[in-house]
Amino acid sequence: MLSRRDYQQAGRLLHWGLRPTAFPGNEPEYAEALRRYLDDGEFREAFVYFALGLGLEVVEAAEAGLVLAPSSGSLFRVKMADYRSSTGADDRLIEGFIHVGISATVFPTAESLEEASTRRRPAIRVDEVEETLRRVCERLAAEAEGEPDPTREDVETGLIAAWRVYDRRVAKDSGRRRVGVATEGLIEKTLETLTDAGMFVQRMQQGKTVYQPTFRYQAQIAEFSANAAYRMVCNLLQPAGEPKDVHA
Amino acid sequence: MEFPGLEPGREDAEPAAAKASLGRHAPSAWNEEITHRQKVLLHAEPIFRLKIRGDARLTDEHELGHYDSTALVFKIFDLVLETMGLESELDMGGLAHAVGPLLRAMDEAAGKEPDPERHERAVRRVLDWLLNEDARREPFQVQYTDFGPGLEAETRLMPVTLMTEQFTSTGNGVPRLSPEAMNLYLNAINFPIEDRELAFAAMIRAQIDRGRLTEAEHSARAALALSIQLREQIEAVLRATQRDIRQVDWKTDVPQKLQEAMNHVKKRVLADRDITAAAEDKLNNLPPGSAEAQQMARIILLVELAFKQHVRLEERLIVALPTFLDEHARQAFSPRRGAAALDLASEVLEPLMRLTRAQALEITEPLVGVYSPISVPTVFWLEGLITQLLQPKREVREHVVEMPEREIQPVGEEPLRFDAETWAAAGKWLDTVQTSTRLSDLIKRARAGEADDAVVELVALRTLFLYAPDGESSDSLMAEKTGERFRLGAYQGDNLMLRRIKVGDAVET
Repeated sequence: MLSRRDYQQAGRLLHWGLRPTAFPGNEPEYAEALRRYLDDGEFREAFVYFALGLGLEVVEAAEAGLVLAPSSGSLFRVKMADYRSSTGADDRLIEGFIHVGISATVFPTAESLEEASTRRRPAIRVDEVEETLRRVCERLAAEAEGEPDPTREDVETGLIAAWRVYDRRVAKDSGRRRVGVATEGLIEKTLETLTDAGMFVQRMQQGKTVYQPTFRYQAQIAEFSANAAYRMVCNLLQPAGEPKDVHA
Repeated sequence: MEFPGLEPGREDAEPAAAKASLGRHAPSAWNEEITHRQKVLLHAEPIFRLKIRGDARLTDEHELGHYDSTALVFKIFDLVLETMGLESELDMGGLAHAVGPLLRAMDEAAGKEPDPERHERAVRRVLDWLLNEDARREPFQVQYTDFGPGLEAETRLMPVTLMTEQFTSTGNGVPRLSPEAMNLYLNAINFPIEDRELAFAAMIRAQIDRGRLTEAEHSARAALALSIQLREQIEAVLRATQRDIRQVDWKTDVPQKLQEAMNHVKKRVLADRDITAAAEDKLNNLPPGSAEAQQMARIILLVELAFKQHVRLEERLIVALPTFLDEHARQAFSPRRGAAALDLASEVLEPLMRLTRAQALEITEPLVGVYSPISVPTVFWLEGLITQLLQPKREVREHVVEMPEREIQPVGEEPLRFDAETWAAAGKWLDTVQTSTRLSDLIKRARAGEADDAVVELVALRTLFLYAPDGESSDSLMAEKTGERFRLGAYQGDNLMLRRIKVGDAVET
């Protein structure tokens, strides 16, 4: 039977779990509540269901921290308008590709995604993410070779293949173009946003800026986002007429 | 390289006497046991690869050639193992510091001045190698030859991980030995973890009884590392279950493994208590504060830490079966629930980019939502807003340095490429144009009239300007294209036609 103090401690654990840059090793209260979560089944169950009611899923809990992810329709889920107020449809689309591209660069193989989230993956660079995305574009472009070019109607109704949107964007900004349209700039911006949210740590390595994924990022992708994204894509690929659920 | 006797055809060619000496129990040309032993030994191959090939890449340009990489590797293994699971677990910087005395000794032997920066570089390079940074921390691929039932030679690749980096509770990373490396170092790669752990437990007890405390402390550290390893192994199985139940063999393999683990944990918990009781008994008989007493206290601490690992593992094992049942119910009708064996590039990114733009846009927002971190919504707080609005303007504090007003001085006029004299001389040559004159002719005339190079250059530039004047021009000259081109020394291009504008001329725009 949990006491009032236990419920309060569960609330404090939630408080710390919502702070992306807090670490149990630096916050004794967080460490104590987390230890309780790991060791006490009753406490853990109460916490998990309370968080679920709030729209939060516990995706990972280890000595390195508690990782929460927003469930479908959650108040805690980021909406694009929250941080990209003036982007067009193509920019939004590219942003989606970039998020998946970043995760595919951090976890380049199925085996790497299966490893424990507490195992630190190597840091990534902007050009590596770009390479991951361009490689897929090249593969799809090779497949599409010989097919007729899209018609104007296809372009206007959005029936062109999505990869073409990424493919026709330049990789690097040049002086003559509007700044911020090149894909490498957009990747950098996305990584910086994720860094601010405690998902990456930026540092210099051999004179180049690298982004080190944190436990929080690795856990969220491996235990939550990868699966959710896979289901979203599968739902869209279902034959017409079948019910679709694009909200993971 | 040839291995006589491995091919079936070669056996017949062996001398009869040799065959007879083998008797009735002639050994088979190859068997699984040899493959197994070969693989056991080959776990050390990446370390020797560093020794043979790696030393060269570590070396000359970085002045690290006199360091023995194998000695450094094993010292690092020892340090990592010694602090694994303890609060004092060493990070990369800590390792570099701890390996320092060895590096200094090798510097001295090679007649070099010790250099902390060089030491750090050496340790960093050995660690990068152990983590296999060149292959983005993927396992080393060790090649070996195996033989099929008909002695067909097959080249196989064995993945070997020596070291990983684990997140700590402060968000940093610490190096950890992989199970293979730990087994390699503990000289026990051929035994299951449980057996090794119990063997170490028995060893600790015997060493305490005999008063061999230094050895007991080492054994206790190794036993703690093995306890962590076993717990992580069981947790990996449970994690795999939660992702995709079909990934693990829950019919035979896993229940058996869990049952064995449970039996082992029970034995270990009893053994831990036994060791702790024996150690405390010894501690009470030792002079307080003595070196032996301190060592015994450290042994007790290590055994207690291992005991905690076992209690945590026991709890995980108790919930293992319900985990399986829950996941079975949850995953029964789902085509695929977890991220098991999911290749993000080919199974998510590529299908996503293959969609039409309109389809992909449909899921972009929810996709970004699941990939983004939690966003904590802000709540409107009226009192806070009013307080903020009513708060007095921040006063300038004394210690704030005011920016002095800058005195702005006029800068001089932009320096001119050509001086006034050159301008005047060029103007004179342009004034000579009364009838239509080609630029090439004007340049020739100016050169023939011994005009300076600067004057000729300015004549050419002013002609260009007359062709496309920047704004309204007050010149009475104009330049037009003729379609001809010219080349005169350093000058080449359109041979513009200079013409004096007269009143009544129509100017094309």
